[in-house]
Amino acid sequence: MCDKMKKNRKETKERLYKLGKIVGLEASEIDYAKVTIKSKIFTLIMVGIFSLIGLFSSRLDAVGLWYIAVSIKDFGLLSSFF
Amino acid sequence: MFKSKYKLTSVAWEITLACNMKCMHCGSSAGKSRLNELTSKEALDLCNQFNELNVEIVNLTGGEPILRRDWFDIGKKIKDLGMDLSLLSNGLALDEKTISLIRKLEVYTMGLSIDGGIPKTHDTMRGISGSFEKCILSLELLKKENIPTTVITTVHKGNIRELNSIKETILDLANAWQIQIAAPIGRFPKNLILSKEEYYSLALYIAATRKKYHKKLAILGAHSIGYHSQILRNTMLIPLWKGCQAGITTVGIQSDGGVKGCLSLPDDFIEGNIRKKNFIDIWNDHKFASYIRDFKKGNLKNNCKECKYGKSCKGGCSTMSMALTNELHCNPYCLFLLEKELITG
Repeated sequence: MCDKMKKNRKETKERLYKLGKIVGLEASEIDYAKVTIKSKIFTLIMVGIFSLIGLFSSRLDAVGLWYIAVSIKDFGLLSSFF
Repeated sequence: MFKSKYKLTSVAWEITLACNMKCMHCGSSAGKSRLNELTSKEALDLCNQFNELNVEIVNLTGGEPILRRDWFDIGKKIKDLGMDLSLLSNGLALDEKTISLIRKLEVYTMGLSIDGGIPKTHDTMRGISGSFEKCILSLELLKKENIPTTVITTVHKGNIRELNSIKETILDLANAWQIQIAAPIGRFPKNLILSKEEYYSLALYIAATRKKYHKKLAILGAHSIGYHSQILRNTMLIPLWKGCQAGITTVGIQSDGGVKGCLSLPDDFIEGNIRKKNFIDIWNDHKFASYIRDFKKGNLKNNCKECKYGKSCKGGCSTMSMALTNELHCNPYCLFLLEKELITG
């Protein structure tokens, strides 16, 4: 079972590397693109916080669209959270 | 009149179809003005109706919006009414005088299209020699005036390998970089559509670079890239896809007054014209955008039918779904589906 999981993980990694080459990504960048348990937990916490803020702000109406931050200049900050 | 429970947040308004470029991937087949474009009076009255609906942002697009004689008056009216304003331009006609007018409008963002990492690629796609250099010059002028900018790149087979060079070019010039895929609509040549592998690699690129460059450039995929990846980090602004927003929070208006849930949808989706019916009444009509507003899980088609995310996802971007399958609610360019097909399957 463990061997099978390891094999699957290796195959997934190889397929991602192959796809990443199309757009000129390096192996380290491709590794970073993958979601991890740590990043999932962090994202969940941030989604919770932002949902609470959204409850008190009309910006929640715009979830799913571009227009959510107070300024486009805040988008970088949002990118750092999510 | 029935009042819609949906709050209109964002309007995409093609104020003219006239364009000074001949982009081969143009989804609106822009070039000449529509035969019967709205007059200044009609356009300004429409702004009042947006305000009555408490619209938050109006995105002026085209064609090339600044080719319309009264673009500044429309923009000013929107701002005077307290709404946010964004402009989407190809950059070709921007000069110091125009940019100073844009600065006066205090836009939320000025969108500029860059479709190649090298001049040849961009100029070929845009059909105008020297347009890449002009666009970069416009970006520099906008930065000098401290106007927030978003570069929009439409990705297809002809430029997918130039993402890194586009990024390097705009890293110190723009505030945000919106990456979207070219949909087979308008005059876009179908042989240039990304393959499923290329589409996935594009999402991989966004997921890999978003956080890395966030201090200089916010990189994000448009709503045609994403949906419930099990492998990749978020590709959108926030990691939450609530389905196509046509008729829910957004609307598209053509320069002749035609109204659709989304401006990119085909003309079959025009559900009214502001010349025949008040825009507020079109939006509040319970039949408007019923394909999204009244969506039920049973509307999902093809591979989306049995998807566990189907109810909230609604089958992804409606425009992509229509363009690729001729049906709604089954956009095959979906990370969740593709991971099963290309990665884990």
